[in-house]
Amino acid sequence: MAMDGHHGNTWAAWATVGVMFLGVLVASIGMMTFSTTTTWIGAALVPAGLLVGAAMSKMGYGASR
Amino acid sequence: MAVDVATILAPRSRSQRVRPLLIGAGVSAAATLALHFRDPHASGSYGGCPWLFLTGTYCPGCGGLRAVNDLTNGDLAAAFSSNPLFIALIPVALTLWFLALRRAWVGAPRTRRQEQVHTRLTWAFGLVVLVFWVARNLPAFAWMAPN
Repeated sequence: MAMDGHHGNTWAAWATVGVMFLGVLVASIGMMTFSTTTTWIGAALVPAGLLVGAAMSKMGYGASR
Repeated sequence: MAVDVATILAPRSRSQRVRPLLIGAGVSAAATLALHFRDPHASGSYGGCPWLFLTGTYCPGCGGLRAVNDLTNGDLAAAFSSNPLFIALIPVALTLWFLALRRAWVGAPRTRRQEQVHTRLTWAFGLVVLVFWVARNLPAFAWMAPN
């Protein structure tokens, strides 16, 4: 997989990373401000990133196989 | 400190094979030193546990930093009551590290048997962590909870 030559540089992969990164960022802000709601939103975005990536991969924005 | 076989054995020279293990040890030593001088017992000194914050229950790692700090002060009992699993795993981690170092030094790949043991240990580790996670939040196993 890592040897495919595209290094995972696809729209689906970057969307996954982007949404998950945003989730961690939001959760961090939530923890620093002691807001459980904000932290939960961030925590929910992390697995949501995986779903977004899987969906985009199905739509053909992932690695060609 | 688990290092993939490929990362250790692919480089040709001995120093290249041994390097990731030494870097891992160095980082661990630096973290231990930091935990000795900057006490994690002060609440929030290293931030907090997101799991504890959201759910109000302990995660398997809760008390881990305090345990390391207790150990550097020679207080094994306090370390154990902070996170017994973490303390119990330190000798295991050290053993595995030395075995990996020896293998990297010699440059021999893992045997089939060693691969098998490695896989089983990994699954067993996951299982132990899960059981510990649940148990330390139950009143009956309160001694597993951080202090």
